[in-house]
Amino acid sequence: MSGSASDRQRPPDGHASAHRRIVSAGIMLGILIALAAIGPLLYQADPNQLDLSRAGELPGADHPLGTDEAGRDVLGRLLAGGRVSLAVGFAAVACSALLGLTLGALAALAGRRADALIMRATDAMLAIPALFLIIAALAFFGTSLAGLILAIGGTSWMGLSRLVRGELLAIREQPFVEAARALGARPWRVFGRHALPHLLPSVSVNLTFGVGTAILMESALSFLGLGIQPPAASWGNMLTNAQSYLYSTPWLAVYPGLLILVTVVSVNVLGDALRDATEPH
Amino acid sequence: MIPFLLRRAGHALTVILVVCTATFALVHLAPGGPAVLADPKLSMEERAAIEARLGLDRPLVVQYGLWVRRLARGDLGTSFLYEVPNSRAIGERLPNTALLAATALLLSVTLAVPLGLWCAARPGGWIDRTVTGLAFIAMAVPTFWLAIGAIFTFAIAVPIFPAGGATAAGGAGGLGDRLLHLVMPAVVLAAVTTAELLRYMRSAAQSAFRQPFVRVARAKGVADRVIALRHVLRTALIPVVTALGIQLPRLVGGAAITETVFAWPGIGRLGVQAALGRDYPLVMAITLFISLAVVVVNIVVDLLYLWIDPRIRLEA
Repeated sequence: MSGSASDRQRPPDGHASAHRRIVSAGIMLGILIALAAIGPLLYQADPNQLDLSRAGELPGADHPLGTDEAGRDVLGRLLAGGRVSLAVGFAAVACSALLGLTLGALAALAGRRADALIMRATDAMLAIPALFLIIAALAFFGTSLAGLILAIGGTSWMGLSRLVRGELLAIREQPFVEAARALGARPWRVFGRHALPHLLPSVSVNLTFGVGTAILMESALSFLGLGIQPPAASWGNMLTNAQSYLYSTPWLAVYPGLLILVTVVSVNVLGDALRDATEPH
Repeated sequence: MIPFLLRRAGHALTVILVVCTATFALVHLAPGGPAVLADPKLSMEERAAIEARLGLDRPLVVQYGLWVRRLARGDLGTSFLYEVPNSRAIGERLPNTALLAATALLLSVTLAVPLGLWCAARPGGWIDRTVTGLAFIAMAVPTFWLAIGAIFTFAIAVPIFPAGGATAAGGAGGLGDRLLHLVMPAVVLAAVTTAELLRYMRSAAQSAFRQPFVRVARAKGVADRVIALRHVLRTALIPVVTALGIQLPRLVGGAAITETVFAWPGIGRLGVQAALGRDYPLVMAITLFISLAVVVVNIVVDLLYLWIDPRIRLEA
């Protein structure tokens, strides 16, 4: 182990490379979102059209990516499934952002009792494995698209509320907050105009990673049969079917998994790069 | 130290109470009543009969009170689906999950700690770049996809390992057979945990390398290997132990997926089947049981902390 190892600092082009990574991950995500948003409009094969006589076909002229075990068009199902995965990912994070910010701010600003109550609830939610928490929440919200979004969003705000609370407690001690207070600003104005902008970098990093987690969670639930219900396509439930036909048509298991992987890697690269770009090291 | 433990125990008790109430509320306040009654095939009489048998026709507060009282006696209720006490259904599958999770955890720690230390010692080197790159991908791969890929590669294309189950049919085959069945699920389950632990270990070791005591040791001419293994490793392990406590619920959640794909007869698969079969008493029992286990493990982690880090002992 070389002697200078510990003294080696972050490479001098750290920020520049972070910006490059933000751009490339952003372009990748942009392509995926565009495919999901306008893909089904341009490529109009019905993703639910069964044709058992043409099941398990390899890519060909009418089916650019082939057909699945029930003769449905794979490309059409991938595009439709992408809508579900991305919609659930982003909407669930919007939900958890709202909850996490509100609860974190309340815990930090609304007095000791609110703080204790919210933080104990946060601890309790963190003690339940996310998958089981969501399974219980799905009993409440139902397995519709909206139900999935609420169940995933409603059970993933805990990291954010802790982060927001911690940062607010630190910011509260800063001189500019004292100055704003001394000038007579009300607590919620201090929060909105002065503290919130300081939270933005760390919160946006947290939320970016959250999108990846939410997409993985949706696909896992759909894979287990607890998420998007067939015949509607989702990347997760396409893999459930593919698993039963591993002997005859193993390639069907490749596309949806690869798309989930690429999406989540792009989101995580974006989150990582955002952190490098915003954190003064 | 005693007040510290008391505080932690009180804290844990509140957490458990909140978990109990939350699971009960989620299941019982669902729109349209408990989902077991949502089956449209049921006639009104059948609904009423089920309600009466399960006590669902009583006021919610009474139901909650009865449920908590039974919980306090250690009674986790009875499964709709299997018609056996939930504690028995869980107890029968607990050893399998414990075996799988412990193997995966052991695998993760033995891989992540040395690799993380190595990467931190030579940041930017080819090993560091390969390992952190792999960890990045491992965190984005859906567990079930990895599992399917493993089954295709090592059970279908090159049949080395069995595709599923915990033992060969009928439980014959002995220890070797059990180990053979354990390999794929354990490796798949370990993938994400290893990646996460590695990232913690790497960054903890990196900041430990920057500490003044490392500079002092180096100035005194202590060998690099000794600095890494004696000074840095011990310091870096502290945050890693915390990470272990955080990873545990994820490991159990991941186990549910891994167990389902590999038909591993554990608690996770039981929970998924219970949810699919709308067996809510069993879902609640499993959720509660796992949360309890997590709370207990986190207390153990806190105690480990006291033992590893003398600075905390002095404060407490």
